Amino acid sequence: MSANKVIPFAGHAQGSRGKRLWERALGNREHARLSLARALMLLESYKETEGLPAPLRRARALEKIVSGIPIFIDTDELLVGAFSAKPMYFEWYPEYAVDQDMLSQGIEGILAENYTKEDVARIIDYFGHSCLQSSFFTLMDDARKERVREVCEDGAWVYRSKTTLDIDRGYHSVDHEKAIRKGFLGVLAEVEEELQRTAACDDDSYRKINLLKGMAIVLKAGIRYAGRYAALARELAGKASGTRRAELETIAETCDRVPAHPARNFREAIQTSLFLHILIHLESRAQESPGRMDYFLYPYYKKDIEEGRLTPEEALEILECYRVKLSTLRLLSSIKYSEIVSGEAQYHNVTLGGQTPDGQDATNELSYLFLKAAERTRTPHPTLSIRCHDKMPRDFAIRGLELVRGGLGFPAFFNDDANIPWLLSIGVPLQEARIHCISGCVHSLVAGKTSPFDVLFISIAKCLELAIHNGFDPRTKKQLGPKTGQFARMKSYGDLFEAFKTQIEHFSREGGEIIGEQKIFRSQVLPAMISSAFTEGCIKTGKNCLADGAVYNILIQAPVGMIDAVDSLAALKRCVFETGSIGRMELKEALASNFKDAAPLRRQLLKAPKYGNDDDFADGIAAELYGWWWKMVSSIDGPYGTKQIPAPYSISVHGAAGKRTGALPSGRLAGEPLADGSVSPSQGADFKGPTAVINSAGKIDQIPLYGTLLNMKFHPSAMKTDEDLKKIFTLIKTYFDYGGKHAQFNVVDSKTLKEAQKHPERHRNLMVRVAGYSAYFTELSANVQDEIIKRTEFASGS
Amino acid sequence: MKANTGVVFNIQRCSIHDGPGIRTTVFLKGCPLRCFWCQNPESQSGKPEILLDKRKCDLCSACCGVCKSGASRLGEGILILKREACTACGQCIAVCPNEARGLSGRCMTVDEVLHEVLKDVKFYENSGGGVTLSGGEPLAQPGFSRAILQRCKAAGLHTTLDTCGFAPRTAIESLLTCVDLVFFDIKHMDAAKHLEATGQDNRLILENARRISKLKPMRIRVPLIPGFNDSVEAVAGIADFARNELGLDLADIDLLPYNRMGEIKYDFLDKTPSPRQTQADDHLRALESVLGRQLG
Repeated sequence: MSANKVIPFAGHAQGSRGKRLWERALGNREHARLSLARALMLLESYKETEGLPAPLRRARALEKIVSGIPIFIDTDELLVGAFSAKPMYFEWYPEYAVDQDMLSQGIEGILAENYTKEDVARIIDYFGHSCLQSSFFTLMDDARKERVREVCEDGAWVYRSKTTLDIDRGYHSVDHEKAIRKGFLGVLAEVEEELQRTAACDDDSYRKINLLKGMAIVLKAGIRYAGRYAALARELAGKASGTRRAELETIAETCDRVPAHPARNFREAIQTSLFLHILIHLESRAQESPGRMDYFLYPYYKKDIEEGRLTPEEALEILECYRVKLSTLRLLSSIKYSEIVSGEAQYHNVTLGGQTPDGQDATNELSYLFLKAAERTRTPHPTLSIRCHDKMPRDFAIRGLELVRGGLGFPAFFNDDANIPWLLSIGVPLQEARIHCISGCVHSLVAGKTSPFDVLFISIAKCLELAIHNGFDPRTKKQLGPKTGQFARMKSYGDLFEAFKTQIEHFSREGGEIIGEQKIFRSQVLPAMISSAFTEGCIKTGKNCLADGAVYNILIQAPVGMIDAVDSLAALKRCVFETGSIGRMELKEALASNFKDAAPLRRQLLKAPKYGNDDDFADGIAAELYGWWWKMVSSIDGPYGTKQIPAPYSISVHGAAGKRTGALPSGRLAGEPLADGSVSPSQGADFKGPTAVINSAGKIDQIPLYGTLLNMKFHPSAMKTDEDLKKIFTLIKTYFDYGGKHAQFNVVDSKTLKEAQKHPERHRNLMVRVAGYSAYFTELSANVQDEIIKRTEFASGS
Repeated sequence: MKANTGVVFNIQRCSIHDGPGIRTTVFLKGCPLRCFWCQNPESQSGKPEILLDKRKCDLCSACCGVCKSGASRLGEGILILKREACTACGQCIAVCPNEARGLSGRCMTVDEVLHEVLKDVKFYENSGGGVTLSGGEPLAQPGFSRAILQRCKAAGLHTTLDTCGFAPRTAIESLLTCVDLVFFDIKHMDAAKHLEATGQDNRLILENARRISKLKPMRIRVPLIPGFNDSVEAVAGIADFARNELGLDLADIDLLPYNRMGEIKYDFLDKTPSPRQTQADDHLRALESVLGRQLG
């Protein structure tokens, strides 16, 4: 099997509905443009609601958008609703961030047919200064503004604080099960009951009333949105004939029924879930994961099958439609954001398998059908996550790996035995912990009970650079960190390690404070209305889920370049402090020159022990650093009485941060991407194969870490037979026995990837996984492409 | 050399195609055969050797400066390594700025080998894997091989011996007590052809195969070499032997398609490869069908 041949669909699926839909979507993608439908309605609504409390402004805006946004039903679709006014178009979320340069950057080139540059100007004019990002920084005093400019994305990139406001904070999962079971009207009744009980007697009660009123508006708006689809489907049915006519009539009946009322069957259930998901995205640029779909849809599926209303093949077709639908969400954000989250990262994550509340295996026929639908459509979204535990059917894991082998880059595998204890540690009861889902890339959470996360990304590699330079950033030539001592005068490795820890802690606290403020600010300016209606606690408390409405409130810190720092420390310890083969000044000069004329010195550094080779020297440093780091982060206060949470993952922030980090003692050159911020080895640093990588990662105590990320890449020859796949699963199993939390795989070879760089047009469909999600390789930024190519290829036994 | 020390040229962790489960394969240096297609030419000699990648060499002559035996010297636009003078001390590897040099083979103690092997015990347990001794030819270092295998068995590990079968009967028998599974190469049933292609005829090999088949589970591995043994007749001959004289099933025979991945290593050793064209899929299918199998 060649990785060049990842494109074809499974033989029997030739001409399947999902395939037809997705091919059409990919065609549309070629000439998709920026629609202003949402942004202009938002603008109109915002002008109408000036002076109203934020929850009502947000609710009214969504109401206007879903009432007015053009809708369509594709000729093959069985599920309806859309993230944009036209298939595969981008919608704009200017209330989050507006790129002031958009007009000068030739926006008209990507603007949809019926809009003008003047429309864009109107939107920028209104939101340019009032958007979340601008207004947050407007409120800062000049000194702090300057500090942020120097330290964050526009300066040294020690941590991120600007692009954190580009979109809504993510890694969230609302209660889809409740929406399906009660219908929007059922939830509306709860809201109205609470409203009746609440008298306006002080600030808090008044705020609560406004939030509840807002929820009522959006729930009704959601029902109306479905009504528009019912009407359109009926209109189209009138013009159609035969099978399609019947299909359209079913769509109309489905949309008459849901999401207003409780779903009665599989199709109504998944359509409810889809409407909810779409409404969340029309309201905010959220990063929402639908959660355990096989689990909450199964009762409906089972009943339909038993009563003869549905065949597995029909269910599969619906799941294919669902996949295509979620793959039509586009991401438009500022240029800086796209540099960080390359390849139009989406965060819809569907969790499969796992356990029931009483600890039994929850894998069912739908779990397998979700894998099958992905295999048939080969769409990048939603990404799939398999929860592994001892009672799971081994065959399910093997079928998952079969999908991995096809080159999609998912499913990823998650360890219940490591993730459940973490949830217990923050106070989640066992039965709830057992039904957690995976949200975003790697985070386990209780759907419908957890707040969306705010994230501080902090560059640990940069902190090391600062420690070596006494707090001075050599690239921007500014004293940014505390003066932790002259490197030349450090007597021991211990001195350096202490200086390094001081730098990290300094910026973790400084950045943590800003992100905490951002969380509060976001909740006040852009409260999440639909999401709050489907997050337990919000209706009762009248607080929105971005604030402290949810039962579990989460703000995380994510270290970028942790492993680069580990490798650098190992090299420093060995070459500078132990053998003394490299002098301190000599090293500093070599780093400053990016190893120009210092090739032998760089060779020494590269040959020093590196994490990922089952070498205790380097792995011990990783274990020690992580062990200290999680305790330090956990001691930092977050907003609303929480503590900050150590969560090592990095999406592809390691590319952006790497660009602004100089040469490192690990031998890494200036500007290169950093390692992916979690427990994967640095690019190309591991050379002893997957078991060594797993042993290294297993030495880090991962239980206290909220989600870790281990990427591995396999040559197709290592995954040819079912027997091979069983062996690969053994690797996962062993890693999980060690307490590892997550593992994911790429199976493309570097030759294919290089070819794809040269000829992107020939590899439009080539998918790779970048830290937690899959994306089209040809759409990734160049440095992330390079990094993927470099990642050690494990051609086991071939 | 004492039995507790041997020459190892590679320890490959996470081998998934060298026996059941996930395995660590220990490659011992030295082989009595000289198969013209050999994929590991660096395994033939029993002594450590320098590998020199001439593509990376920029003639800086740093190696010549440190070479105590005078084996490395700069010629006319090329670096010359006099292998008969080289002691494989490895000084040149350390100073080469281009990483053009490597060492194939180093002396290891049984303890050192076990230390490496035991790192993946957890993987063996979970997968039903273990250790595979390969080469070169493990039976060319019978004492060392036996010591490793004994220690592996004592540690409860599954052991596989991957052998070309060309060894004295006593060497084999002394090992078999600590071997769970034997991978046995059979290259050709025709003694003359075997002699021509490998430097030895196949009588001892076939005799050893018969002996082992009575004592241990075994799989026959047939490297398919274009123009030598990749005909339907040659494969059928081996299959008949395996069935009739070894009492094996056709399912116990693995056909290993020819590949050219080892070719570059000939150049590293100043040797000349004898490359052939790899087999077409159709041809491989035809050969598999001799064994009653369909190739996916």
